[in-house]
Amino acid sequence: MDSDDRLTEELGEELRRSLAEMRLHPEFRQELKGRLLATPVSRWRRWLGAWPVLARHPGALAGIAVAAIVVGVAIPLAAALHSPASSGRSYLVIISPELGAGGSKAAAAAPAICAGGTVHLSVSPTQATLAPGQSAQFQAAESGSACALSATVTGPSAAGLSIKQRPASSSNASGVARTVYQVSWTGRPYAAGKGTALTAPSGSRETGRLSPGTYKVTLSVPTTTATANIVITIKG
Amino acid sequence: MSSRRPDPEAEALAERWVGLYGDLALRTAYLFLRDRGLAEDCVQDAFVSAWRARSSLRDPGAERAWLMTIVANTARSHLRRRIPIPTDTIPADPTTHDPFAELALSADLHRALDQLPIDQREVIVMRVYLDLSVEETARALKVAEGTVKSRLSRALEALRLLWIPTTD
Repeated sequence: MDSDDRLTEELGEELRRSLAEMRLHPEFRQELKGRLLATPVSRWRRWLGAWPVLARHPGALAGIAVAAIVVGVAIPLAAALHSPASSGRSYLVIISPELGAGGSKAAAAAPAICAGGTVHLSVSPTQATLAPGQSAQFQAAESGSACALSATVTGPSAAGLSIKQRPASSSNASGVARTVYQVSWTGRPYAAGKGTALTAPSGSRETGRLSPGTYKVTLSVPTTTATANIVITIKG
Repeated sequence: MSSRRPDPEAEALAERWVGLYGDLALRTAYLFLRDRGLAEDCVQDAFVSAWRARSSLRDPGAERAWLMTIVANTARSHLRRRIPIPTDTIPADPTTHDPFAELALSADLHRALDQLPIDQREVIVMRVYLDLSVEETARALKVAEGTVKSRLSRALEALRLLWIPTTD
């Protein structure tokens, strides 16, 4: 046995000895097993396995790939480019209850602290029509959590829509918080990419200007099921 | 929600993989990542990837090597994604150390392995710890067999200067 072999053996023994106590936690094992059982075999592999001819002639895959691109990308793209004004798309606005005096930023980011019961969110008016540069006001009322509201705009700002909170907000004795928001449409082109909160899958990768049509803005209170909608009609 | 019953064959396979290779996978991932939490994440990712691709395992006798190769490659990709922390800025405060690191590896060996370049550490894990063959290691690392041999040789040469084996 040469010195390299000896060192390899000693090193292997030392590594095995020192790591022998490191084990997966029983809960982790269970979770992992469950995760595996919930994971299907790759559809691609299963599909390929079901077509032995393809496995033998991978060249045929090129034809299938071209057909798939035509069906999956080119046709929907062409349809999207020639479609009339899109309508019924949804944009998501998060309405977070804010802590009152003494609340920290971190605490405000955890709205569950504010939740005191079933949260109801309503909005008035429920629709507005906007031309480029125009804005409309609406009032959001939230009851059940006794916290002030604040809107976090992620999706709409990416689509040229923005929502600003007006200074006047109130909270009455019955625990209803009312906040006035101003929805504006800049009319500027937008690039909606990954990370925005556009809820319509068809709009999530678009680049361009909002087409005239109606758009649904959904307001929601995080960690609750409370939602309210306003319909924004965009004029060309 | 699916109410489908789990396939008994799949259940047995999941049981075997987790039971037989779970700990080894954790230790292997730990040797790359030096962090228990990251190692667990890596094991989960690797097992799920392997599970999805299990039909590609042709030789059941190569299951261990195949699975550990996936674990090692997953750990390597986790390592590449990780933002490197310059070690000279880490305060020498013992309370900030990963407690598992102290439990798992002797300080000498820990330090010695840390000083090896990542490509040499990979070969140590695969050849020395997992006892994979040169061929299996080369396939896993996507390098030539000669590269595996030379990396191992350089790693051992460096370790000879950095680490003194315990003799108890």
